[in-house]
Amino acid sequence: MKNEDNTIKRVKKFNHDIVMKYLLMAVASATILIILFIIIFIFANSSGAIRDIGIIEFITGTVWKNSEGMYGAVPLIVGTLLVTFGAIMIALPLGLGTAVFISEVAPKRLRNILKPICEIFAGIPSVVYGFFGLVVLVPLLGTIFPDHLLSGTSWLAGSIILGIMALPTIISVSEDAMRAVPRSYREASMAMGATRWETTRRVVVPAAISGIAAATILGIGRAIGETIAVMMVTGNSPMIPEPLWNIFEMLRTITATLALEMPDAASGSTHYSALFLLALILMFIVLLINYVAKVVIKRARRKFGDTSGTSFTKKLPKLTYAVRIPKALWVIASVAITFTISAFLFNLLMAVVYSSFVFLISALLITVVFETAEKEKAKKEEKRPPRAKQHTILSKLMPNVMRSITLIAMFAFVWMMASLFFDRQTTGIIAFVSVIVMLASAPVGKKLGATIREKVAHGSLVLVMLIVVAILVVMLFDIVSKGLPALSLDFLLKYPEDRGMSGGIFPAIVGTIQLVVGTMMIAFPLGIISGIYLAEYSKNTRFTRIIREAIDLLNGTPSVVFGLFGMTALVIFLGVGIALIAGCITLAFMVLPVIIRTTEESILAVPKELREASLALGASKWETTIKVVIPAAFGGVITGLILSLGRAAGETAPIMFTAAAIYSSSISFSLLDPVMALPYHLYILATEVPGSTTMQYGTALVLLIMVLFMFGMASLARHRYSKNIKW
Amino acid sequence: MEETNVIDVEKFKLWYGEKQALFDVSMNVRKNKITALIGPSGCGKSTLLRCMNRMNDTIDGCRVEGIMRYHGQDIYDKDADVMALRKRIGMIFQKPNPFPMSIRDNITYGPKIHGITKYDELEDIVERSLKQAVLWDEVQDRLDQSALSLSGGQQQRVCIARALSISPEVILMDEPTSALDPIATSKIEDLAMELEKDYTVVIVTHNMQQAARISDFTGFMYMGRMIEFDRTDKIFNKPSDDLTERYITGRFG
Amino acid sequence: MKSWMKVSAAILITAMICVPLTATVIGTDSHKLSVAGSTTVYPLMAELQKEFEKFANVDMNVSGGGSGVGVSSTLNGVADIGMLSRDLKEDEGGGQLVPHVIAKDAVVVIVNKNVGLPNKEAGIPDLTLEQLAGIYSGKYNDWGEVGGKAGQKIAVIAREEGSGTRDCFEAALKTVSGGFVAKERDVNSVNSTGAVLLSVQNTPGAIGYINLNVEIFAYPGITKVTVDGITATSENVQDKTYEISRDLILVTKGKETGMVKFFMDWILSEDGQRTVESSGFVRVN
Repeated sequence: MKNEDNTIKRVKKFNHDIVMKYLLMAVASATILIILFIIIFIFANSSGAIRDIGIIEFITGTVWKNSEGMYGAVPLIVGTLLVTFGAIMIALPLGLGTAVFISEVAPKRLRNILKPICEIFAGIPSVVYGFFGLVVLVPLLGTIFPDHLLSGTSWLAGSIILGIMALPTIISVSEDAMRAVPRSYREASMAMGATRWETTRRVVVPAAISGIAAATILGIGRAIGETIAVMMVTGNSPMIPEPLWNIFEMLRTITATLALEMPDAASGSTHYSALFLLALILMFIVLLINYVAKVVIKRARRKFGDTSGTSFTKKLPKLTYAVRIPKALWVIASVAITFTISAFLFNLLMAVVYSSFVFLISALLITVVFETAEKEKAKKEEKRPPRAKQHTILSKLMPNVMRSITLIAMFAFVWMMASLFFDRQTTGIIAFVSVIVMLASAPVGKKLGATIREKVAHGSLVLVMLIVVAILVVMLFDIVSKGLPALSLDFLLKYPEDRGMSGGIFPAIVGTIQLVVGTMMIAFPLGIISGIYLAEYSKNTRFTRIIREAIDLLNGTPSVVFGLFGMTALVIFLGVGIALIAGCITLAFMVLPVIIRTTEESILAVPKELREASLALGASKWETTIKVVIPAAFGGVITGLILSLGRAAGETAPIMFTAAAIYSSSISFSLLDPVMALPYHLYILATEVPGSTTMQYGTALVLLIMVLFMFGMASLARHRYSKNIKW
Repeated sequence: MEETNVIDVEKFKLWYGEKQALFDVSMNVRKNKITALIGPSGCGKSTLLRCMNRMNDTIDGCRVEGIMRYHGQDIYDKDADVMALRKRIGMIFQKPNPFPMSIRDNITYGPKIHGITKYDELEDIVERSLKQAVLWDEVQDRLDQSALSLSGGQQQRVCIARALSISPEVILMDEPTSALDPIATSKIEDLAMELEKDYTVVIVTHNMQQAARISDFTGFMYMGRMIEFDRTDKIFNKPSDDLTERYITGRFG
Repeated sequence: MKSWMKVSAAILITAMICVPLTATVIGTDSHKLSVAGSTTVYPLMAELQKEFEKFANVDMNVSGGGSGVGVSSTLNGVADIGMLSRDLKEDEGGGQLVPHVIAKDAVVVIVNKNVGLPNKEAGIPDLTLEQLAGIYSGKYNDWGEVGGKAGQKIAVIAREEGSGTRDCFEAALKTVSGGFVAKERDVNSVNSTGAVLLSVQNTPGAIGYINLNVEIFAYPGITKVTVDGITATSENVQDKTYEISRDLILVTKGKETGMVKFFMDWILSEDGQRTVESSGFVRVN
């Protein structure tokens, strides 16, 4: 048929593009409302504590004792920071070593095995980590250090478990960063006769340093927000360790306090609102960390994205020392002043805590506030002819300064650790000797030659990788070998009996499925639509920026805070009670940012040409989106959805105050009834029902299988679609 | 005039996995001369070049057979020290690839790897290398700026300076000007001819005029074989092979 | 999009809307009784529920959430009955809630068998309340000071701050003359009964405390002790001769009526109290 109609005047009055746009926008704004709700509820509930205790007294009080009505957040903040610090000390060397091994050393075939293995780590639910910590790690530590630990629950145990949990983040993000370093850099280095190790150490790692830093910060974020696992192994004694580096002491984190004390706090009491104030502080800390991560990642992108003169040895672009020194002085001065004042007002410990806070904040301020000013300054400076050789002395001294700082830190660390075991004299000798050994190792290493140095380095990388794999294998083997005997048809299909000592876990399995399905129904439509809106329709306006910020905030919020929100807003305020629907909504809010982000990213990954091809044929934007873009992005979207469900299935903290029943003797399909759930059941069995070891392992295994199955599906989906569609 | 061979290649074969990329290639590289390798894309000239300092070792499934000697020593001997070899035979790549570091750090990278740590010594090396690469005047005031802030031609000269910093004997250039504009290209060509006094240069190029302008010897490769290898003037004026002539005169394919 | 995809999408969406709706409709049944609150009372309530459902035509629904949730749910009518493992606070409930003591729980002191305490009557060692207060306040640090093996350090194991068991234990210690302030250093606070048992079993010189209903037969290294010569038996707890005990409380909104009243009466009846006893708690009458 011949088309002879040449008119281009609009015929349809109804433009469904615009309608769809506003419809999508409306759904996307729901995300903001959710965030607002969460913040408002937490703020409103914490106001009582601000009134009764006072904000200053709250964050400077050193005693947290509910029975005496004393609410001082310092031991909890210190506990959170210490356990996180310890976790990073463990996770960073292991994670970075493994990442370097996978990216730079391992042959292709080994890499293809190792990467999915490391992904399994990410799939294990936190309650299973906590369970493993409680039944394996804690007794083990108790046996290794009988003189220092009564039962093994300690800062050390918490840091080890958290460190293991932070590993997958650190490994995958820093591995990606190193893989992104162009091959040409490596070739250039090798062509000059550098060994592979020298290339890794001097070119690849420095070039990827921003990515590695981001990985570390994200790992810290994960560790700080963790609740259940930490609660199970740290002993939960709200005390500041004495001395501060005593890794054998018990401590309590903010998250654990929330989970432990929230259930019994009387609604509206000072205790209750003090807990909400704690949640607020936790959110603030996580927000700060995520913000730093964002700045670092941005910097990394800028470095590789364009060549506007950033140098990674000198972090800030085109800055002379003349500009940078006052800035450093500014930080040092503010830290020093805080230290002195708080040392006078409180004590040494508080001084350390506060000055480190001030350091964090001022460092952040500097990167954000001064950056714009300095960019302009740098622009002006570019026009003037620069002076030659102006930094000679500083550049000459810099390596030595760095070396001395490393040595001092090393000495301090060894001294602290040794002082836990030995008297003062021995401690001094040990620390001294270890520094001498450090000093001596450099020239000795030099004498050995590059090839031997490379062998030593690669050998230790292999060792690190083996440790990481061994941790996983031991964990999985322990759970599978002890859980298998419990598995039977009866176990899967019967109700629990005798407080869970015998019988089965049928209602917990059904409850978990109910929770996951409910979560899916709420989160999928909201998440996918918001993702489509952000990817296809949003322009870079203030509104979309706010949405994005809200999503990031939601993403960083620790799961226990979602639990608190669910409890106050849904269970108590709306009067839903402990119910399936409350749990589903809480979990849905928690997984929403993951869904939105993966949807958006996979839609953005669809090449522009495809859209243009469709638009050029006269399709409307909405038609293009629905018929071309979304089918093309399907694989990525599906992956995100399944991953989020896996996460929902394994979470404990958000459901423990909103939906979880401890025992139930029937299956209810009402949305207003509580349900049993596998993670919570495992938590209860492990902590409240002594003697139910077989049941615990059985539950852990079933949960593990369920969650890993979903993660397996996700990676299968990703694999399939990435094979079918290649841009 | 007696001329010594720096690199000898005889009946050299190479496979990438199952696929053979080089067939019985024979040629030699004379000291303090510029040797050019020309041929259509995918003919194996870059592959051959990368064999000379064993950069192909980094590629999985790469296997070689035949003879390749550096001053009479087998490059592929199992006792050969690859690092020492690459220290003597430097390389410049197709795309300028300075490290994302300052210019100074780029140049001092090699010396530091090979054990030079004295600050003053390193400064001397920076100055000497950049002068040899004819870049000193342009960048001496901004050695602490990122090398990535320079223009493409300057970046390529940083790479050359970086290669020169460890005083190699041979410099392999893998289409060093293909990513550059004509002015930058001519600067690099001048530089290559300048380098001929102190160094031996092997250059891969798909630009025949370039080969004709700067090289003393030229090898023409096609489909993984060395079709003809001879003095440049002979290749361009009186090629003995019909294939070579067709390629040179542009009546190819 | 393929047609089967459209069809299945439609089915899925319909299902999404219908299933929760029908589920809600089915869920709202005739006689309904919902209970929420303390996780400590929960196991007892689960047993009571099992027995009561045999006895009455009722659909009971018991959930946890903690004492705080128990109070607020009962107040706003989501739950008919709230469970508390502590006393109702003065400002809680605005005078609308009525507390009912339905059972008692006691805290039993356990020690590692190697502490060398001499066995008293019934082959069980004994500690006085004053000695316990001394141990937990840090006054005594060696078993020799309280009649045990001299030179054996006392390893103090406590429940975590905020635990109901701990509150109950410390409240009893506060009654000794001279008062009681818990020592904070060198106390191993663990956050579960299981961990207390494990720690006391594995640590030489350890002392700890657990709820009355916890069986210790699986831990051969542990022995219970009597306090001031009194064993924690039901009778002793009931008539308050054994001091370390607490009440388990149910709250209702206003005066109870209908099914709620029926249930409360049943709990306090012989049948109900027998269930209380068989769950390891102590009857109130």
